[in-house]
Amino acid sequence: MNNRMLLVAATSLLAFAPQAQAAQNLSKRATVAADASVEVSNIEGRVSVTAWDRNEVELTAMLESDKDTLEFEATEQQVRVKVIRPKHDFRDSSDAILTLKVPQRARISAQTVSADVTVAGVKGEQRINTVSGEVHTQAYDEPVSLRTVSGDGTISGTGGKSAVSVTSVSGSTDVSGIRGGFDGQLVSGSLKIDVAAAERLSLKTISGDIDARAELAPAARVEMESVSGTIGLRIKAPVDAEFDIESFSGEIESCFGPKARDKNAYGPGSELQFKQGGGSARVRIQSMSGDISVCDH
Amino acid sequence: MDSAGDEVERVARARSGDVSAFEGLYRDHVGRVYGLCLRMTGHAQTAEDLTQVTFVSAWRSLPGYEGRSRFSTWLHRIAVNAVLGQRRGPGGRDEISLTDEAGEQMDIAAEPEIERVTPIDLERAIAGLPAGARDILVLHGIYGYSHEEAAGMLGIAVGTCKAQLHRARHLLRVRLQMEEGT
Amino acid sequence: MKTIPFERGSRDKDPLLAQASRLPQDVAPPRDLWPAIAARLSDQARTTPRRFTWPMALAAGFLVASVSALLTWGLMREPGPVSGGTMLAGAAASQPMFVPVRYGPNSALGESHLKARDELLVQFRQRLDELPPETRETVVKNLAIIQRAASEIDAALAQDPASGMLNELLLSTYQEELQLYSKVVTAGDALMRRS
Repeated sequence: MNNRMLLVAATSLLAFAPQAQAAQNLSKRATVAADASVEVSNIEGRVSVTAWDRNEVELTAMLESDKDTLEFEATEQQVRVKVIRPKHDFRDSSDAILTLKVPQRARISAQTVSADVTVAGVKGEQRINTVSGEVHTQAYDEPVSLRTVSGDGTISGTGGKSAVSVTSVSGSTDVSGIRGGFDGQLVSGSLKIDVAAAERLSLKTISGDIDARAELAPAARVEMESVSGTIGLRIKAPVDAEFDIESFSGEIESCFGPKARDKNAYGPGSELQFKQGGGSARVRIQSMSGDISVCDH
Repeated sequence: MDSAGDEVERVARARSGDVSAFEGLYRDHVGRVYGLCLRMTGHAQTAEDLTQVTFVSAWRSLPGYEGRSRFSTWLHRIAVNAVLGQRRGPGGRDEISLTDEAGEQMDIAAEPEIERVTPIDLERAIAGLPAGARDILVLHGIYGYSHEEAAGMLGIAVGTCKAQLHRARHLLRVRLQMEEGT
Repeated sequence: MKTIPFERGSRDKDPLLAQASRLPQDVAPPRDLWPAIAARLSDQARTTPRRFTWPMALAAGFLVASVSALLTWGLMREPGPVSGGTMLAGAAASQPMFVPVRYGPNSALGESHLKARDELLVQFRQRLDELPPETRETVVKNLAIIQRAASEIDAALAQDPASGMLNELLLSTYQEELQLYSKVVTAGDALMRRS
């Protein structure tokens, strides 16, 4: 490029750099109860929530577009933050970055279209709904629920016992270090989960693959269902459970216990039913055509 | 055996009407097409007719072949359609329905030309399978198509395909074990 | 962390299938069939596929209608490999017409179930148009996956109608369909201009 072209290019760039100039920076603060409910709604960009030891909610917002507006309402019990965009023109991509500090025991409800959501250190109940944002959060001892269409997510346990649930259409989810109960429903997204002291595990998929590692509590109840996705379950030894596994046309493999057998001579379907150890837990796995594999570790 | 590049050229020439190029394709692929038809129907004569139908149909459909799949796979699809069409249509060699001891309908070819001679071998055992199970065994077991590909060619669900394979394996095991004893 | 690597090589594991895979794929016909084929080639006129051309003015309207039809077709198709949605990707730009998942003749879903779905569908259709095109595409693809599952289960029910497991799977599949609609509806809430 010769100098003249460079000059022309540079001036063109200057003429088309509206976003940096139009950014809005806002800051809000409110005093709240220790277990206040904080609701955040965003479209594109990011929502970051971290816990601090004040009974206050602090919001710092950066809106790239001058057409977006921010609503902030606060009472002692409830804070509501919402980014409002006048026209959903998805070709015009502008981020809104929301950063919040909340009391440790605050209850979080976040809803986004494509904005990513990160929550750290918050011990209150969490409900996160997103269409395609990436979600990272931690589970303590209150329920955590993630509902997504295509966003990927990770939920990391911190040793507390809680009820975690994920429903995902096509996003991939990784759940680790949780204890207690987990409920997962997928269409085509994949799920990897590691749960200790599992009391209740319910995993359902249509075509997404499930890779589950579990330490079963006594009298645990495990239910796994798939249409065509593969199911892999590894149970921490010693295994103490009663198994009822059935598949219409998928393969059933188990690295302990007897071999699967045909349900009947000429029809389809194979099954595997047996007890290992005292058999206090119950594991039921069903699939249409997805392969099933059960092992200990 | 020609290289892939030669075949691409041949297909291109055949598409534009070059009959001798098409003959070259026939020579290269007739074995696989006849082999498929023979095993799916169990009749040498029917297999011959269907092989002819396949190649004539391929000649007519060549303008629609865009090279997205391998030529041999494309030919096989036409062959499978020909076999299925022949089973359904009038004037074809009808499959006689029988009911077996379990009360289930079994479709067995009217006169399997591959006679039952002991020791029965795998080819004969396959020929004696009911149609649905046999189709999958041939496409997946012999010709190596995946469940998805076989299901697509046969117009059935992948789950049904797997179930039929399961059934085929079971029936084959039964037949081959039975024959070993004689 | 996507898929579990499963050893699916059933042809390798089962000795019977391994044996089958070693059977000769080529079998020479007892006689040369070429002369008979060649004879039929010359008396068959080669049919060239007809190509549609239509006046430019009509093109846009036609495209929308035919794309809707494609979408409908994609969701209503009989069991078989799904095209993967690439054909439908271009449909996102238009206003797709949705039909709900079709449950086959062997699937017993109560009237009340299907009615509940009708109500949800009204809102779903409205909200779907408000979402980004990639999301619409994801939703379409996944509805096709659910449709395929429903069709596979229905085909299996034909063989084993009393199977408790199949009926459970059917219900779960239906619930996933409803959940998908309800997620789209909820997602729309973040886009509402008034809180």
